[in-house]
Amino acid sequence: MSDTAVEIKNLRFSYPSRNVQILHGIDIHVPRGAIVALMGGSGSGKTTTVRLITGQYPIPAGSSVVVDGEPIERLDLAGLYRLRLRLGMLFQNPALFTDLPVGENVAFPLREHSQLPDATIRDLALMKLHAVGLRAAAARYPSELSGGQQRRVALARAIAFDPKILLYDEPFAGLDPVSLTIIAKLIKELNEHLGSTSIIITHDVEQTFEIVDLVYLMWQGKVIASGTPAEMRASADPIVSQFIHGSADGPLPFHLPGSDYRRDLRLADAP
Amino acid sequence: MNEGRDSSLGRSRRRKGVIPAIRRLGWPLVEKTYFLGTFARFCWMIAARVPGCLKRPRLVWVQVYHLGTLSLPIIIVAGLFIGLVIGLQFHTILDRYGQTQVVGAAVAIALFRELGPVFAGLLFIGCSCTAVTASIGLKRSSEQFAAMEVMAVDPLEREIAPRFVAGALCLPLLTVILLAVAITGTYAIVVLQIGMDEGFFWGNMQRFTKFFGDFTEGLLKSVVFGVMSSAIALYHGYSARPTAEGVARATTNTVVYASLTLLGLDFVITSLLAS
Amino acid sequence: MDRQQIDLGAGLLLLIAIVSLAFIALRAANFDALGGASTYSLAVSFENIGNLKAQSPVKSSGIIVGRIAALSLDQENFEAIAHVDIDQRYSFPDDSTFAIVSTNLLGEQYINIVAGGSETALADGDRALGNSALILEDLIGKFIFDKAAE
Repeated sequence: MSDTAVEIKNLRFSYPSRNVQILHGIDIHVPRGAIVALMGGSGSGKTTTVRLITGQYPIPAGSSVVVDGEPIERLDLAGLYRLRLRLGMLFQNPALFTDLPVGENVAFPLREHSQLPDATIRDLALMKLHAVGLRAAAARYPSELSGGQQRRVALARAIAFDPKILLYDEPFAGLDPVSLTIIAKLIKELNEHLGSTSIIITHDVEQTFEIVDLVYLMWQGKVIASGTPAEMRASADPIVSQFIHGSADGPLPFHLPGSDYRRDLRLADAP
Repeated sequence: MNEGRDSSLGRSRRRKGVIPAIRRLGWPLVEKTYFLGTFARFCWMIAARVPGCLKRPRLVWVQVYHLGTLSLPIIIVAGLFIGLVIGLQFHTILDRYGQTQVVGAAVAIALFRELGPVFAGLLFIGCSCTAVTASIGLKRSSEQFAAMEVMAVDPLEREIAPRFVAGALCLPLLTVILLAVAITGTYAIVVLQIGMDEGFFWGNMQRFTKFFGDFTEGLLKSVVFGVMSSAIALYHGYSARPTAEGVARATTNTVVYASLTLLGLDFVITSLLAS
Repeated sequence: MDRQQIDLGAGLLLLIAIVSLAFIALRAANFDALGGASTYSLAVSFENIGNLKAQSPVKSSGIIVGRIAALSLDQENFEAIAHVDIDQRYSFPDDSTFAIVSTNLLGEQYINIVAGGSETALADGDRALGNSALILEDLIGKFIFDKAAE
């Protein structure tokens, strides 16, 4: 087995229902065992990239996504489902099953894919919940938990099958500082204990730079910079430094590209 | 360059001219055809997953509880009132011709063949199908289906197919219950209240209503209605836009499309069986 | 939602539905109109069946003993054949007469069986000869013809 967990080559993509091209040929290399951050402004194609890694959309011709040694574009549905058993994903909104209690949410993948007896599944679910510190909430419903707690439950569910690759879609968004630190610590710990590889989509520079090994900075469907956190901090590139320091002024425009402002206002001398 | 000094922000401005007019005319047609096509494909996708979901009866069982048992109160109350009012009406009309002894038979035939299946179907659409659409729409909009897919679970097999099977199963059951309650209601008003002879009531009902014919025809209708309304409800939930308005719109569409299809199918089945 | 509650609820629905079905089958609807096993069929030939229809009753002494299953035309001698299903509980001697009669002058027609005196009974698949219907138009025509001849 190679030391590469995910290898993306020349990935282009546009959603079938929309004409806008989301990804303009990106290359990403994720070494096994690393924690890699995909950073970038909203709408830069980070979520789409992660969805393509899990095979939620077909990979267009000419692009290649190899996950855990398997080229996704060549897998059929059954092969894709087998591969997904080795992946765990944490969604931006936690996507917990609202009609099941927390314990059953965590047990869900085990119930669906294993023939283990009920008591074993229950114990395993409790162990995963214990790992995220929410064993006491097993009987509650997701709606009774706070946003940060829901995300921890979703994390417990994502690791139920001890995945080899964990994908996090904005795990820090909308969390208070304490929950944020807890989640960051959990991601780091889980990556070590499970021996897995993690890919994190995030905006949170400070928290992310403390735990990740590698950063890819994306902008409008392209990877514009990559390197270790230290390299990124030291980068002279104006875009990178604008993003890292979060300043409003810089090469990253504030406006959505569109028609001329004066023309939209119907000023007489507009072209 | 200054055309249309209106206050709109571009985009939805209506263009004049022949070709745009034809385009406008054609689009609803294309849209309806497209809708039919996707609906048919969706039905096929469900049908292909029914065998798989039958291997896990517990999932169906849970939905039977949600779609059937929770609709029981409304079905029973509605059935009682339907029986009461139809009994009263038929009695008033038949009294003019001195034929009140057949009121039980007339009510039973009307209920078995038409009113029972249609009323139960409409109540089922309003009560259970809307709940199905809303819950599927919300599950989809909160990415619960995407989460399942990433966990290598097919949401169509895990969530959609059990609801479909349960819906197709529950409506006939609810229809039978509604029929029995409605006849009891008629009995209550005609025999207990107005004072018609009990023997005549049941005797004539039995003489003129056929179990294999009147009753089974109605039951067949309710099976068709159950399959149809469940499929429509699931389709609208599954294809709802992932917003609050999208789910609201989908729920409305479920009631509109399922009710109209039900009434149309009722006519088609009746005329098919009559010929 | 725990399992017990779901099992109880879904079971309740099934139970009420079964009770309702039994109520309808036993109390409200006629379960006897089954056909098939509990009847035997005879083919009765008539010169003219008049207004006789399938599903019309077959009576004997005013009691309904069967129903007409189907009507057809015999291509050999151009007689009408009425296929009747007779209730298994009743048997008739093989020299019984089958006649088409009306409830009243313009009313529904049915087949009336007048039992004969023979020892052997009609069995399933037997053929019997019937007396034709009284055709109202023929009667009136005959009446006018007779009057004119006088």
